[in-house]
Amino acid sequence: VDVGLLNARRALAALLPIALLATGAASEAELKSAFVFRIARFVDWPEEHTAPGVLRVAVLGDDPLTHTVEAMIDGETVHQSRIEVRRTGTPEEATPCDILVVSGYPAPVEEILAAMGDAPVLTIGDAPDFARRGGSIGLVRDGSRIALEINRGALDARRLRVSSQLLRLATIVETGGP
Amino acid sequence: MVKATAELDEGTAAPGRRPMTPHRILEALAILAAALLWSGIASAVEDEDLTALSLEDLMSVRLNAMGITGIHHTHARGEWMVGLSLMHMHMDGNRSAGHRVSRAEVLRDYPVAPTEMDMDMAMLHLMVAPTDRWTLVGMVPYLRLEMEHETRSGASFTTRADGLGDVELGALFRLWAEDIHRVDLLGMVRLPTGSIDVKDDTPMGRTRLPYPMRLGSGSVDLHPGVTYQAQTETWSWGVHAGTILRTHRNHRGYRLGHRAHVTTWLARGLTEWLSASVRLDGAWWGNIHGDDDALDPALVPTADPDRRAGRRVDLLLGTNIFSLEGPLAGHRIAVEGGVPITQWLDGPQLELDYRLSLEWTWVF
Repeated sequence: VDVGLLNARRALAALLPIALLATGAASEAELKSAFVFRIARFVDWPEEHTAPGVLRVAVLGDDPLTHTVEAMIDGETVHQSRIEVRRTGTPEEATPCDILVVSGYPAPVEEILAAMGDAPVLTIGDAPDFARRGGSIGLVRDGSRIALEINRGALDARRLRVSSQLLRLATIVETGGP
Repeated sequence: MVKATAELDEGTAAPGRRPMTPHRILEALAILAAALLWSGIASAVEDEDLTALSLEDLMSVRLNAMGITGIHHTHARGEWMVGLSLMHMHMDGNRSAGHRVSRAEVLRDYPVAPTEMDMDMAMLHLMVAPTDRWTLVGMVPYLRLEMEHETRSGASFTTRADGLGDVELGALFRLWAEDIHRVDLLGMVRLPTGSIDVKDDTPMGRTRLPYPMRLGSGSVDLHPGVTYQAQTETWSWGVHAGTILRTHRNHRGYRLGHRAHVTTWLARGLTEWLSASVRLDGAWWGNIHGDDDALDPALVPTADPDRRAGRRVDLLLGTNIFSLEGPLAGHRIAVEGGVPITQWLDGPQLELDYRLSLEWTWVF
């Protein structure tokens, strides 16, 4: 197509307003938040530790993912349980909760997890090697997609049961593994 | 990544505006259609709800949103990409070394002066990834060239050429990838499918057109390159360097000069479906070796093999619109436009005035 109807000034003038439309939305954070929402359907917690009718999600770290989890899934429903998202300032303040989403928190993953003790909390994070460092589920970039890494040992230690459907879609890793 | 390159020159001011011919009205409609498609995709993407997708669907959502026009990367195993790029370059006025040369100055040395040139290229892209590291690439260009001239007697005439350009085949290889960073190697072979025998009517009769009006190099050319690119949630940046090496003289007894190019860019995601980019694109190219006996280098500078070299840096602004999900998942439309910020030509040669591109790609 010959776009000779346009000259350079017109073309650049047309592009400029678009360039000023910055809103800062993060599609990757929204996608990961949707994963958090979906994953919750495939996990069973020990009955004695759950709050009836509520799925408690704590978010830790000042990052687009944790903010987006708050905005996207707070108030949604999973298996007749209403999701309640709570922002927490430290790992120690996170419990009691059923899911802890960690992103952009300035402490080593191991330190965050140690603060949770052996509480039955599904820990989900997007830090490098999150699952290999003891987290339950890592949200990792696989080229242009988001993939899941699951640490079965970490799930067992926290007495969490995950459906085979979720396991089939994820890469299974071990603590300290390659 | 692959960088689609066009080797052109430049021209002198054409004072008046061209009339609105039916052809140009069609062009305007094509632009309007593209804009409508753009806005349609945008609204469709906005209406999608990621939380409604199954886990399998979420895993198929792609995040390679902030692409740069004409630049590709390796794909995941089993992925295909088809694309169509429309590129336009307009050259207006002559330049020698770093300064402009008037039409009168060119006509003092040559009986004929090129004054203006338009190049339009439609490029079909096809990519397939048999493995996560290898992506096979094919590119088929179609060119339409138009050059206006003026003679010492004050007469003007226009020459035109159109047809298949030089087809490129090759592969991308993912050399390294970690977290947000990746390095891809590019190895392409450019086949001499573009004609170097194109003719058109001139005041001297029907003659073979000069070098910049030809549709290909006439030689088998190698096109290696390397790309580094990185992408965070809201930013993307990268640099690509490549070269085009002519391996032999063509059947007309010459070979085009080798060419090198470096491009670097920064893009920012503005919304979940839109990004904007700024890019610096530099190119260096050499003179022609040998010559075509049918051309008289004393007649017009475009026929002189020793007046073809140059270097140029362009500043380009662009936008991308992309769909992460829904029926339009994997589609991307990119618009980019720019102007040279510096150009040096072994002239007189027509100088670039501006360039525009529109690209659609679909990954599936």
